[in-house]
Amino acid sequence: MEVSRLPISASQRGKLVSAGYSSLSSLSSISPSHLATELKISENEALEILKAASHGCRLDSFEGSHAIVNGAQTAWEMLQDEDMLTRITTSCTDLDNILGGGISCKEVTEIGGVPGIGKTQLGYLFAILDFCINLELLLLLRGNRNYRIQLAVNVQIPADYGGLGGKAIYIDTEGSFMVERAMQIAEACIKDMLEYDGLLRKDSQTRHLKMQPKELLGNIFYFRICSYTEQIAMINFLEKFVSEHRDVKVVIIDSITLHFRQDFDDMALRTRVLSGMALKLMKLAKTFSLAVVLLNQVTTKYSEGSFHLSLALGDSWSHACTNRVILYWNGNERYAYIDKSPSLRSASAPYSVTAKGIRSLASNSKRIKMM
Amino acid sequence: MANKLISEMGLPRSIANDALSLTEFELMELLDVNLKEVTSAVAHISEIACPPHQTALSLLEQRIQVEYLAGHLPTRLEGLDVALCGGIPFGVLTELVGPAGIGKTQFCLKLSLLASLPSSYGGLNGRVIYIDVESKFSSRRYLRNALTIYVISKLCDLDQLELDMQNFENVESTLLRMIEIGVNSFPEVFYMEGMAQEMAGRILVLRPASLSEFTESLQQIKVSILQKQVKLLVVDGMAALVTG
Repeated sequence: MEVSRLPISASQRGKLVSAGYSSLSSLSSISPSHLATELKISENEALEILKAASHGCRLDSFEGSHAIVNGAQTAWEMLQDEDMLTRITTSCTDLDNILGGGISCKEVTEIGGVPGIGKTQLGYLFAILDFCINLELLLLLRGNRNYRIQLAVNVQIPADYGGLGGKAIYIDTEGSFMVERAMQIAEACIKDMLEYDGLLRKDSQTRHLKMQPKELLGNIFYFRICSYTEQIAMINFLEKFVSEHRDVKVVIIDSITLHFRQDFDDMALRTRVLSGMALKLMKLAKTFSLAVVLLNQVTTKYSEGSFHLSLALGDSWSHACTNRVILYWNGNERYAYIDKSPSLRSASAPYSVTAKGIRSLASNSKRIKMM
Repeated sequence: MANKLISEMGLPRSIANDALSLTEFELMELLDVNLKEVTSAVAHISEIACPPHQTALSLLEQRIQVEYLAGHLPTRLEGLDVALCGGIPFGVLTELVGPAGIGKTQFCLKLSLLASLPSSYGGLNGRVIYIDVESKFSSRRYLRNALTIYVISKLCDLDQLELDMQNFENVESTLLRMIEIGVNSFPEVFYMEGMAQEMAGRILVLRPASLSEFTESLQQIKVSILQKQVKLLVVDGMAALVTG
């Protein structure tokens, strides 16, 4: 590795090169005081340079037969991890089925659709259902056809905890978060859970689910973002925030597109900023085992002689997210389509938006006829 | 180091903008510091530039306790108010869409009235900025509505919030005739009360001729909103504004 690639300041680099040190090997056997006198810098600075150099050396060399690169996992270990992976249900059976149980933690999922299709409703849902579902338990319950309950509760949480574990971060760029609606969904969610709890626990000792809708609302951290600078700052700050609030399980950004659609003259800058954001979010999801949900808008694209709708922010953004779900209208019904996923099949599932939030398709999902 | 100084200053927006848009290497070149300092500086800047957070619960409590009328402007149309969880919400944009002649401008006039009424009549007691692109604002009709409410309250001896605007619509037509007669016969009565002037004075009507004129006046509008306790901003004719 060359000296030019060391993470040191430009003037230090310049001094090194002009003193004749152009490769790391030349720095390997020198002492800090010697370097300090040669470059006319302080001994502390020389020590730092040598530390950076030795770190660079270590990354390059493969020691003997181990050849394990720092941070890598074998595929077997990853498989074990995936089995333990928890998912967040969407409380709509069909939707959960195509998603393999729900939105997965540790991954970034992008959900996009036309205005009014229910993106924000899904956002509310993930913010409130911020507890994790044990996948095996979910499959067990799905098989039980007597109960049409669409939720599952993590049984490992002790009764006196009183809560359901996870908190949520809701980043609102559009101002579409309405507290009253979140309250409605929280109340409906608790009612459903009480019903389920009664049915599940009737054999074993009764355990009361002491949960108030207000407690659920207290688990949502709400940020209101008004410009793209704030958005970038927010995503940079998320790492610190989540490390201080370790019980956060889901981050919802509604929507990532709004501030990036108009203020940019320099499209290259936009692409760069967006990819940076995507990488940071992926790292966040992986490090803290979060589910990251990004809501996107649509735009019109002209290709092959016709106009059709596609998700906003361009082709380079399309590559950035791990999973992609597109919401669309089919006649009078709302459908979700898995557009991109590393492990799930492409499939469509209908859902409906009710007073209780997102539910499976019933008869009341009529589209409002525009005049 | 120069870096520390930047971190310690309260940053104006433009610096935060540049700092967050540039890559780490560009920042290293610019500030002549090493990578570790750049990352910590960016983290610090992000923390400062990031807006403060609150839980959804505190948001709800704030709405109920602090904001007037729980953060909504009731439209007095019962079904709509229930659907909107109280009325037109504060702090967000609400769009009224419909074909020609359906009543959008009348709806806007009514909302302006509701916003400018004193709190004892169930209003927001504030001013309204009405951006009238298509020249549809009728101050006559507005005043007539305002005076109607005043007359009803006097007749029914009500000066409390319990004035039921639902029934008001039905009563209005009969009373309108009364008022017209009243205004024509005793114009001084109404005008001496000063109410007409007060009510009419709370609506600031703007008639921009073009989009550029409107965007130029936005800054002034911002200042007026802060200085004059404006509670409602109506743009009547968004499409006309943009395509004109």
